[in-house]
Amino acid sequence: MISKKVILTGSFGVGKTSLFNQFIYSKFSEKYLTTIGVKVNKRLIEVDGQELNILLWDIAGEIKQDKVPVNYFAGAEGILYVFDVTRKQTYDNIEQEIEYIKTLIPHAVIKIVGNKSDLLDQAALDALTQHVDVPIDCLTSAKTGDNVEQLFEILGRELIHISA
Amino acid sequence: MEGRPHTDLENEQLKLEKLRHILMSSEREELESLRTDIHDPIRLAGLVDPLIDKKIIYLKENFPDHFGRQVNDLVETKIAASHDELVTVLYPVMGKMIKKYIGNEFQKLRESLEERISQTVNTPRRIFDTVKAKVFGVSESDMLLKSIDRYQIEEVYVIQAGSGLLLGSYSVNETLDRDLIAGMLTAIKSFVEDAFSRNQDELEMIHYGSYKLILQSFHKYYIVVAVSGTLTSADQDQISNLLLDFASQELKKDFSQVTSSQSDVLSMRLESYFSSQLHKAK
Repeated sequence: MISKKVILTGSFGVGKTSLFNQFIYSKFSEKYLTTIGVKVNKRLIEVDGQELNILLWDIAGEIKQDKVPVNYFAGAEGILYVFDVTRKQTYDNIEQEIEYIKTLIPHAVIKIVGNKSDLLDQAALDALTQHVDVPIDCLTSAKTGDNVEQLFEILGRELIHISA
Repeated sequence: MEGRPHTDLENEQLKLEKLRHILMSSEREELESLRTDIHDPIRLAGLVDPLIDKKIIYLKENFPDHFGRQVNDLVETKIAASHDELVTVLYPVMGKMIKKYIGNEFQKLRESLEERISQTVNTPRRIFDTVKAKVFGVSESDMLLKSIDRYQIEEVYVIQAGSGLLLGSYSVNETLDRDLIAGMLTAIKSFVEDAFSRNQDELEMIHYGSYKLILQSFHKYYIVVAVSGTLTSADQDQISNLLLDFASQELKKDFSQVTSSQSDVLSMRLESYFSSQLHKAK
């Protein structure tokens, strides 16, 4: 079994904590982060017969240099950049923010996740790819649990692959 | 107009006016005197001051009956509104009081121990302690207290710097999930160092109740030791030496990949090293 640090990041209110709770506890929760702006939890998953211990850091708020301690990103090998499919402002600056993350952790696997997919119909979800500046890796719903497990499976597979 | 003779009505009014003038002359004089009193501050003060003094004395004696409830309400409102300020002011004062209280209680404990020591029979241990106390010039109760209050290493964590991934751990008791402890300790360390990063300083100790967490940073990892009991600077020095020795002996590997097998081996080494070192220290 290998252990990896994965960070959940993205704008305020996109559902990072709900995704975190859905993945860790498999139930929808409205709990908030702790005082220092980060919550750490873990889950053991199995991908292609290999055990992976994911230490998931749920970081509160925006990825701006002055808002989140840069040290929180240290040593992370996976990044889940979450945006809200119903709010344009949560993916308006996505390209610059991904570039910024790459300057902090150049070798990390980054996945772009559109959350709250349960709030849009299929046509709107299809159209979304034209409005977001970077390719979307996964559309999830933390509320229904849709695609949450698959998201971590995709990420886990890549993390194991780069370790091999 | 002057040439015109007064009418009957006008004559009546003039007569009435003269009569009023005659009848109310004393009242008019009294009114004038009152006016003078009111407009002359010194005279007014001479009249009013005794009355006010009397009222003040009355209020002093009966204040709680008249205003007690309002004052209580006001104080309660003020206290509620200034809770934080009050706590800030009272905290150091209470701290000193508690410290003094604990000091007194410790003195009582010491006296009680001395009394009990003097009552115990002369066992070989007692004779040894008595001789040791005489040789080192300390009281037996102090020695006994020191032995009771000695620090104990409860947990040791070796954590990858930055990522917070647990490389190995040793714990005297069962604890929460160690991976999560390592992660949250790293988050706290990162937060503090980021918030106060003036001279590239590092977080070295966290106090929590009777627990102290000693953090010793190395290049690619850091070690956290959770200690209970009283920790002197000599003890800290001793723990620091233990950590340096352990690191130089056991942590030479490259920990870029964190695996469970590696973690199990390191945890076993931590256990054997720290339990043996602690036996030696005792």
